Amino acid sequence: MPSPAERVRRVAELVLRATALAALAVLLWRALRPPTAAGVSVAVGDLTRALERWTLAGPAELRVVLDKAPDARTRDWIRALAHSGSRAQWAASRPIRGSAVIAEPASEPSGATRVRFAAAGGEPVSIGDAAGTIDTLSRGGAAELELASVAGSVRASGATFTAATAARDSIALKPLLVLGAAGWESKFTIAALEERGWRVASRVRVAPNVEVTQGPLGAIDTARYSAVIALDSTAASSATAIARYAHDGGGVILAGASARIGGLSSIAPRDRRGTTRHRGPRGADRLRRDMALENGRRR
Amino acid sequence: MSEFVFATGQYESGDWDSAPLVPANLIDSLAKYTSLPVAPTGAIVALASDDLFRFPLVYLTGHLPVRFTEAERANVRRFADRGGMLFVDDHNHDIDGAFHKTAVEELGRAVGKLTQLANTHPLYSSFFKFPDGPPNTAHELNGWGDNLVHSHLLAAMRGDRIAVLYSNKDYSSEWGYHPDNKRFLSIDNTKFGVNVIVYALTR
Repeated sequence: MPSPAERVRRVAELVLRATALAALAVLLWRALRPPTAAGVSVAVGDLTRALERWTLAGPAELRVVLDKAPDARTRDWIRALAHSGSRAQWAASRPIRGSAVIAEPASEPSGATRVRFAAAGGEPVSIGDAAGTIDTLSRGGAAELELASVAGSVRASGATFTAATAARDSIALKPLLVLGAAGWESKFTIAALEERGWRVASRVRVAPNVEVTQGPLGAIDTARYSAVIALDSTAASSATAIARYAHDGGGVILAGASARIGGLSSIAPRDRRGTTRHRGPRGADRLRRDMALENGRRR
Repeated sequence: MSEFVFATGQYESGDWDSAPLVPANLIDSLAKYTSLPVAPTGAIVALASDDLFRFPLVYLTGHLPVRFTEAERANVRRFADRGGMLFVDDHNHDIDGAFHKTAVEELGRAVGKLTQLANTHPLYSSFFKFPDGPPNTAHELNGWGDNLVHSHLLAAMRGDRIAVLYSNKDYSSEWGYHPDNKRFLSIDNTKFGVNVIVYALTR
């Protein structure tokens, strides 16, 4: 005959087993039960608490009514709920305008940040960063700002939208290479770039085999120059290197007669018929004009 | 690319047109030694005119006292500030003559004090090499003038660029002959003029 202590132990064991089985049954039921129907309409101001509630309850359906565009965190949260089995729907209580903003370092020695944004509709738009408002537009639209510095993320916000972006890292700028013949154009191109803060290397042709040079000169490659600016046909002797530089990802500006250099045809602009424009040798037009007859007599 | 036009500056006082053969002679040299596109004839531009800013280099000479008008002075200052180069040559090749005294004073008022240009300045190697600085002129050497050689040119700078180059070596007389007569010279004496033009177009 079991002792009293043994009887107590058996009863306790039975009770504990029953409790454990009941708990397992409850958990199994909770895991396998179909989601409860829960249609809820909330304004954006209440959305965080509603999202917390829905996360615990796992409703079959979410209905959200927004009065402004949701931020990225809210969008991600709703998307996660939808992936976990809740059917998510949203509607707007009023027209919500789309907007976009991007901030990236300008390719300028000044280290400025270029902010571009666009906002549909005619709502006033405020552009700002962590330090405060930078500018406002009274009627939305698209605009571009060049800012000397930006604090934290940049946002464009209106009554029904907010778009934000983090400014990308700065870019390392290398010297520019200017190629041209001695003259007004090359002189002022170089001077203007230097005034803007660029480091400029230049090869200015003065005579066959005579060039006036300045700055760090070497092979034309993307490791050495940020861009190559060819002002005229004197760049022909470097055409192969310039074309290779462009194909490697370097920026090339072809001005004037440099766009007609045969060796640069693979990177030169083309007209709509797909042929490179060609205007004949330099001075041909003037020569033709000078030879024109006027009233039967040469002018 | 636009061709280089050699411009002679015209000012109200003095005899700005005292060296009419110099432009043609320097144009000839530029075409002969360089591949720069150059207009076959020079131009005359009034210092008070906005046309001044169409030219990268303006040549100024004369024998008589120089006194700029207010408009000329303001334009010369803007021209120097905005990248142009003024080449002024004393046609008298003297040290303390009327042109020299008044031109230096007037240029000082317009663009700032003229100072001696080092004979190692890049101007002297911008095309031809002049290791001893500005080449001497026949008038300096033969004693016909003041019998003294001017060892340096003067300049007013903008940064490290020459904005005004001043000479009292009388290159205006030295270069004042028909280009065809270069064939009689054993050494072309206009080569320094090419340096001045090339410097003005590249710096």
